[in-house]
Amino acid sequence: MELVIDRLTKQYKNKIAVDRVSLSLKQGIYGLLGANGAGKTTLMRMMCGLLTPTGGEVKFNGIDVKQEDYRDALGYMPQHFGYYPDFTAMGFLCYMASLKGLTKHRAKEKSAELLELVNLTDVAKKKIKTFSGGMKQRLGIAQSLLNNPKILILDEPTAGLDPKERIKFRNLLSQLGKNRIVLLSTHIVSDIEDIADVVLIMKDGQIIENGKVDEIVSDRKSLEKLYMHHFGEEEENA
Amino acid sequence: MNEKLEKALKGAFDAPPPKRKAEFLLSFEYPAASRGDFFMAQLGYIRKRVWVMSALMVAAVMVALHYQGDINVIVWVCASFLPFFVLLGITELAKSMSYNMAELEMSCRYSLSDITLARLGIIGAVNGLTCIILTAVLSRVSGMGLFTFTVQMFTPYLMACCFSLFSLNRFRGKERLYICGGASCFVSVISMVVFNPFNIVPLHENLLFWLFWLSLAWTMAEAIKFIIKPEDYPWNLSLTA
Repeated sequence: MELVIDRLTKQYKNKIAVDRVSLSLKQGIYGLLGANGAGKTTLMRMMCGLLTPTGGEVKFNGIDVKQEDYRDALGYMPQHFGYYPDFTAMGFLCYMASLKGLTKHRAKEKSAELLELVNLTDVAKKKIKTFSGGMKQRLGIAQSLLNNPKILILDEPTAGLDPKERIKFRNLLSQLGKNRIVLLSTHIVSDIEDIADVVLIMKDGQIIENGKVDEIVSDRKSLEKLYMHHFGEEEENA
Repeated sequence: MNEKLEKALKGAFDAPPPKRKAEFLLSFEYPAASRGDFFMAQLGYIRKRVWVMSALMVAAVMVALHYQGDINVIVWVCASFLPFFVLLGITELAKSMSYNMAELEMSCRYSLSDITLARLGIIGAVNGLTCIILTAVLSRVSGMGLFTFTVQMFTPYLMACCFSLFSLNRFRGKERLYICGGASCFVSVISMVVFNPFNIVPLHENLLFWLFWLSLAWTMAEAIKFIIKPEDYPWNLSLTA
């Protein structure tokens, strides 16, 4: 199981959002850290085939990102997502399951299983518009797991989760990372410090750090200090 | 093994916890839904108002014919009303972007292009069926030739189609739906005022035919663009900037 990103580049007119990023991801949890505007979302969108790169390629086990087989192996949760107004939690998951190629029977079964996993069984038949931010976020996580993906890409998945949910989510992710490639982006260091096998730090469209936490931290003592070293000024200005 | 002994062993020892259960489940191939299943599933997600409006349109024509209205007036009113049919279909086609579902849908096995194609097919079939029923009923009663009737009846419909698809292909966000709404109203009013059977505005006799062919060609070109385009929406940088 290998996801290869080769010199991936995205340029918007005079701004280079992602600049020749090359990575090889094997199973495990990868934490993508970076300040707002570092290029995390653009990189993830290209890895999901939502954006056509200006240059470079993305392949999973030799399958190109544009192919249906690639999307079949992909689970994605965007930073911001919507839902059709009349959807219930169960209806939303069944709809997403139909797009992911699950049969009707399997879709119902899997949706119920995932609602249980994200603790939304009680509100399965309630309209999503009545949900809190954290509940919507959990539903987003559930939909990304519908097809039992081999590549799981989560863009700021912990936004809106309360501390208890955050811990639960981290535990869930640790389990999921055992047999698939999980990439999650965040700008909250504590979200990935304990669970990420590999930390990638992105700045100005480039990966400036890539390695296990203790390898990249070295004399900075903690990941947070390393992060502040790279982004301190930007965070203060933001 | 002796059944009794088997039961006794089961009672005496707990079954060991499963090993590598997650890996096994991940490698397990569940039967996947076919493209046909996907298409059928999409049928259920078309909003009811599309079906209701089609049924109402056919019913209204039947009632009007029953009460012996002037056939030319019925054709004229129907033709002027059809652009709103287009608007209904367009709101359905554009709902992924309107409700911010496009990004999620694009990452799925059946991507946004497949969804758009399925919706276009379903809405096209509903509109097509309605149009066939109207044509079958009205063209016979009106005594016009089939082609003349088609031009008279469907030119405003095609004009609304090409304007709306043009707007969907070029504008972003919810404002494009307002543009589509405006285009449908505009075409409807034009049809009411200019193409009416009372010849209020004198027209060149071939104008409607030219408009028909032009709108048909333009609609087809815009429809093709609409189906293949969702690949690369210019996601704005505002999320990350």
